[in-house]
Amino acid sequence: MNHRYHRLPWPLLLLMTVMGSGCTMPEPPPPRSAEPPAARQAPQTLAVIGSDADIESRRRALARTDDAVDPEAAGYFMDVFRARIKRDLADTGIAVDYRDQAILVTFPGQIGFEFGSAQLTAEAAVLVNLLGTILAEYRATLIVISGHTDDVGDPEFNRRLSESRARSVAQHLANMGINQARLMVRGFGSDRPIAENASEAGRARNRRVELMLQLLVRDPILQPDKPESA
Amino acid sequence: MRSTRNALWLVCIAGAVGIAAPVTLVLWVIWEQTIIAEEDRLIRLSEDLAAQTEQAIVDARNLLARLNEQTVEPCSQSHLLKLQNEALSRPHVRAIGYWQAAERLCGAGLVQGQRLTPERASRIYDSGVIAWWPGPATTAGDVALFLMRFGNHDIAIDPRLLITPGQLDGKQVALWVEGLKMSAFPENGVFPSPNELPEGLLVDRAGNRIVSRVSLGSLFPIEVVALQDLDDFWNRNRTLIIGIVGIGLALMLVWLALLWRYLSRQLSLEAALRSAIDSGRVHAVYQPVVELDTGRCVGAEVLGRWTEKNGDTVSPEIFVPLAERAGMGTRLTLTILEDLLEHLADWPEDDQTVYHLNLTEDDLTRPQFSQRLQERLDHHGVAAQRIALEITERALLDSERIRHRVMELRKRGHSIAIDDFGTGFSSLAYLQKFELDTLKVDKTFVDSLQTEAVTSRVIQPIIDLARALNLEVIAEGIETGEQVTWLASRKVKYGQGYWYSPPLDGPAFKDWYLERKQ
Repeated sequence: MNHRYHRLPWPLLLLMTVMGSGCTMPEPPPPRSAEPPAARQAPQTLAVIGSDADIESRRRALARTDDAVDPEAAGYFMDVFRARIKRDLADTGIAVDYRDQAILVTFPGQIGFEFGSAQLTAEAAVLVNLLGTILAEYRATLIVISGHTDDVGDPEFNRRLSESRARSVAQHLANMGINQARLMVRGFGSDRPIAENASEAGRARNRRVELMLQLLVRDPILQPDKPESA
Repeated sequence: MRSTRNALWLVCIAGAVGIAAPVTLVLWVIWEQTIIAEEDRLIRLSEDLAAQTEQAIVDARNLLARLNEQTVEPCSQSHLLKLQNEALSRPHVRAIGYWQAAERLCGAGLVQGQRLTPERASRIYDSGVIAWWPGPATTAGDVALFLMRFGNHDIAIDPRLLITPGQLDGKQVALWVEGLKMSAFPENGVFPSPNELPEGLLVDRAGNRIVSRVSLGSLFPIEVVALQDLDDFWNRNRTLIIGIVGIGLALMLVWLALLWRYLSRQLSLEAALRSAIDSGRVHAVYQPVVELDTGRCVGAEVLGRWTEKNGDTVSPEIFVPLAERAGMGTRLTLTILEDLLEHLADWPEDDQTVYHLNLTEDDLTRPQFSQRLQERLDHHGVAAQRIALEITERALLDSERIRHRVMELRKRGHSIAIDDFGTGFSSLAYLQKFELDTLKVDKTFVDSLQTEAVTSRVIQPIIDLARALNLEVIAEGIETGEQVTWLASRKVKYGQGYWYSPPLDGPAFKDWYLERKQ
């Protein structure tokens, strides 16, 4: 049963997090000259994707699995999912945007990572843990994690840093036992600002990790295939 | 006269309104009281229903929170037992389930195994509580359930059981929680939405029902709409309303009937009198006035007589007051006067008999009679001295105007007599104010002579008074010789009555007079 994964002891989780991403990442001051940490990382299973099409094909693939929710229960799933997130993430500083078939969860940069680092702060780790517990139960979701930075510094470095940070969160979730197939990572660097980079407040808002939790509905088109495969 | 008839109608309408107004007022008060009592009943009922509902919802929420906090292994034997116990201890709870995301893993209750996953929640609260109001999507079996989920547990409530039919007392009731319909009895009843209704009671005549809406809100807003058949409402309050309406109507009818009877009689008598005067069925009769000492006839009192075509006569005691009330007093007097003057035309020129004509109040208060009298006397060539005018005490009570009119008539040569002296008013002040000629002592005093009645002692002072004031006295209603002897011995000069003659018509009086003279 999935809900048991989150009962892994805390220190182990942290250790896994550190081994997964943190310790391999060199601190990059000055960031401009440093090689982005992810580039030197060993190949891993967490998918880093380049386009929305990748997300769509992954969603289709997952829609055939048992994790997906039946179409008739989709509305119900979103309602209870939403209620659960509302209850657990209230007053944590995490921004939540409820959409029709998805929920966008945003970790603001200031509570997530040290400056220039892809390593989760202890505070952020607790919050990711909280979210991971929910996602372990609400399996009918594709989790697209995307990192964003402000526009200060080398764009390519920023892109890699953002990707590393997204991967860091993904890895944390994977370590909690979340099916890696549900996790997708993107690094946008400073390409997708949500605020003006002219001010420090705007830049702070732009430094963030977003988790787009997309509903996975069992694909009704595939129903005829089922008897054959069974 | 027309104005009199109108006045009578006015009286009639005023009377009807007079009785209708209090009856209407009483009816209105009763109706208001009935409505208020009904409203009280409805508010009490609504409050009870709302309290039951609120309690059930709060209880469900607390139960779910407790279940989430427990530490037992999910879907273990002890967990299931716990769910079962909680479900069974609440009559309105149909099921309690344990869920992971959109999957019901286990649970207890009547919809066991059945998974209700409605498309859209009615409410998602910040606390994480989700609620689905009863509807097609929450229907299990035939029952639309109220669902509530909090964390990993959910509860299904049968909203029908939030309303106990026994407490409704025949009413139909629907319950809205947070503006959403929660429950109704009967289930398939059609209820207007509370948004379309005013607060309180509304009589819906088209629907033949009473609709009420009561809003209550302690933890969350609850609205209760109750429908009651007007027939039912009517049945409940019938005795009271029928009783009051019955009494009211009966009173009105009795009052109107009495009023109508009285007025129609008055009106018909009045009409009859008018036509009698117009067509000459009212004419003069004469009761001789005799000098008591000599038995000589000195004149007569002229009285009106109303003889119908069939020979029936109506007493002057009825038609004179009637004529006065109907404003026909002067017409009556003039009719009799005309008859008298025609009668006098047959008499020898030198005859000096005096005729006493009774005046009505109108004759003195209005100038018309005075003018017409002179005009008629001139026309017939009759001297004013021949016509004495009889006035009642009551007429003399009035104003200066009447005093002047009487003085004027007296100056013309008419002698003035007070009729029915002693029966009117006790004040004798007018005897000084008015210049008079004759007192007519009422029949009552004459009757009481030689009896022990108190009045028997009054006649002597009256005679003395008349003498002191230098007035002639005529005794009325003499019926025995003893009375004549007694009166004559007291120096009463004249008298009239059946002892001498009853009232006679013109020719008969003439015969009687001539016979006497010889």
